[in-house]
Amino acid sequence: MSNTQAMSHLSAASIVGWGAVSPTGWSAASLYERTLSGVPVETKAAKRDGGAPAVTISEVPLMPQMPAWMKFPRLRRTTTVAKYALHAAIEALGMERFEAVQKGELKIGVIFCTMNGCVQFSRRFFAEVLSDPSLASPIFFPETVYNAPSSHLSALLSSTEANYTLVGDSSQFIAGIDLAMQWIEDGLMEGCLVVSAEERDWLSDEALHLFGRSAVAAEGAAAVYLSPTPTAEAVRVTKMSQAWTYGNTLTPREATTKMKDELKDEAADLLCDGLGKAAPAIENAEESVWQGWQAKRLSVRKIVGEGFGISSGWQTVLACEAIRSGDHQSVIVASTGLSQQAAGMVLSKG
Amino acid sequence: MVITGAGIITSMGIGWQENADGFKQGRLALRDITLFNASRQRVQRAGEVVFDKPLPPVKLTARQLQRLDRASRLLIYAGHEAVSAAKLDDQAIEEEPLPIWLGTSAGAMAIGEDYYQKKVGSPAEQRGLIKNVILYQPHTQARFLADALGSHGPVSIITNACASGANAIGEAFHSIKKGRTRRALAGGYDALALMVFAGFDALQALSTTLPRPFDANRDGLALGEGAGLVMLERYEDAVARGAPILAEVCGYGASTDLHHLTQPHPQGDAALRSMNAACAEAGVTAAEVQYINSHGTGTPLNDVAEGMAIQRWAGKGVANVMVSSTKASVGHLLGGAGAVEAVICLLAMNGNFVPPTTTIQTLDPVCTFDLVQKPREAELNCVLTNSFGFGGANATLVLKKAR
Repeated sequence: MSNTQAMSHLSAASIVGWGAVSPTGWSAASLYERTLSGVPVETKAAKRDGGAPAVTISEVPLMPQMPAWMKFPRLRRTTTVAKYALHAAIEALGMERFEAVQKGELKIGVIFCTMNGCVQFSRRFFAEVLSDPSLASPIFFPETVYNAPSSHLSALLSSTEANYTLVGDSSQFIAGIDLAMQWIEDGLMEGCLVVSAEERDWLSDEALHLFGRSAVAAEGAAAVYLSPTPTAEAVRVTKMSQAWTYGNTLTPREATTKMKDELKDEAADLLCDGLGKAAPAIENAEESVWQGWQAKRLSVRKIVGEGFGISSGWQTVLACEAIRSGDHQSVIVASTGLSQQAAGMVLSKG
Repeated sequence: MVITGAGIITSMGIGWQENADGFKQGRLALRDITLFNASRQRVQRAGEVVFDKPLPPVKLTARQLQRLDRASRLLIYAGHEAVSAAKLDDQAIEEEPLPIWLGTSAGAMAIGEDYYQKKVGSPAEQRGLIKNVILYQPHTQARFLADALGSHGPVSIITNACASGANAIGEAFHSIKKGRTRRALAGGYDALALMVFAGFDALQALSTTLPRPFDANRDGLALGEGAGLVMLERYEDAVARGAPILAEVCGYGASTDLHHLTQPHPQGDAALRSMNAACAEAGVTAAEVQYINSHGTGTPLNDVAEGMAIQRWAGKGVANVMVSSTKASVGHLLGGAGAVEAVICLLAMNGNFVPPTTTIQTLDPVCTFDLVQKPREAELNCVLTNSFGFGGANATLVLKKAR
């Protein structure tokens, strides 16, 4: 036996629901329709006082209608990132399963993936600390913790099953799906939500601007629900690459090549790629490795902007929508992550 | 699944021996904070690590060495010790991907703080800030560790607050047990940072006296920093390559406490679930567990909830279970706590002692168990360690002495 991952867990579960929040709206359908149209969302410039650089942002529109479950007490004072995460998660789960979980009839786990976390409250809390520690808000601080959004999700669901928050780069969502399928294969639960979410703040907007002046900072969430019980619209993960970690012995380009080699699939006729990144070296790595791709491709970043930890989640949601629409039978989701790893998978009609 | 190597760095010292000596005596290793200005906080003391030994020889480039932040240094000290102790040579690491599972709660928060202050102080200034943005991310620290060891396996970072380190070891354990990998390096780390320190201070969770877990008059915790890492592998592989075996990992349980974002269920419901799950997987009863390294933060609500959970878990045999909290000695290491405390269990099992909690003056009535307050010798064959975090993340590991 070699020290590499076995892939038996891929048959353990299918993606049976998905959801998204993005600058295109509060649903997976709006993300897919807009990306298919090829028309980027409207952006606007934002600039702090004091000579800070002007940044370009794309904002999530106002929620058209607040669902009843959003009145859950824990959500009154929580962060934007938590609200995005929960909305995408409930869309992915669906109301019927949501109610079953709340009643204790369905045991599900939660895996939350993020790169920046709760940046708005973190920035506000730290400003208070520097100003006067004795007045720093004890309400803000607990919400700055990386796993606060996933904690609120489990609380909303009344689910005491395993709940992990994984911090990683823009490809982390794919690694999150891998772990969820392992949990289901191991019989730890009857289903698992994988969610990623980010929120914008001038702090992260200006950080992105350092890597590319034309970068568009975005926010939102993506979610999938994995179940061992397939449905009519189920999407199977037929191939999953290893998460190829960058380092002194593996460049992003080499990592992307290894990932691509693992995903060879003659039937795949759509590539949901990650092109549109601000970081030139990472962008070039992905572009060069996939330049020979002849079939159709969708590049969600070019439409909505940089979603950091959400990006591979949005790519996954697009792939699921494409398969559900019947336009495609087999789709490759490929992510050359911003700063950690390259990972990908092949999704097919279940 | 066995542990063939362990590394530890805390305010008690750098490495296995210094920590074994200190925890055996129950020595307190809290000191005045020098890393940041804490003069405006209610508390000015923490378990700050003193780097009094050079960084071990590692495979980082000169540029990487120059960029190492405090959290990465903690990781590299512990990671290097774990790999060296496991007698895993460079060739083995190069030939097979070595998965790394890490837990942290704040990563390199101090780098993020520095970025914020530069951005607020000079909004127009952009030079040199890319470095902050890259180094701030926890996976950059993980990459430093991997590169330092010459490893090229997948890296996973769990941020389940104070349970993170135990979760990381538990996931690595399960991945080996289920045949997904042959070995893995796992553990946790956190470095002191002003924002986190101020956060606990704002919650009035920091002790203004001494951290006294399970004392009736406890008034909070002390924060600490450090790292603990273990090399996990299949028993047959360890035996085949003649590796030392420090302990067997035999059970891992995780559960989610829904009671409140920062407060545990008062009866310890979720803690009980994670303890029961870990023991069920390990195939041990409460009567077989001799010692519990408790989460034991020293805050009024946490200790009583954990105490209730231990009572319910142990039943009639509760008086026979030895319990202590090593957070009294080195503080609460947050995302690193679960892993460091697992390594402390290894120190105890291999050194035949129980690490005492020496700061207690008046025992809380919840302590119907044997709360160890003075240095004690004991041959430990089966131990359990609890880790509970913000957000309701609960994790328990069960370790047994090697066969």
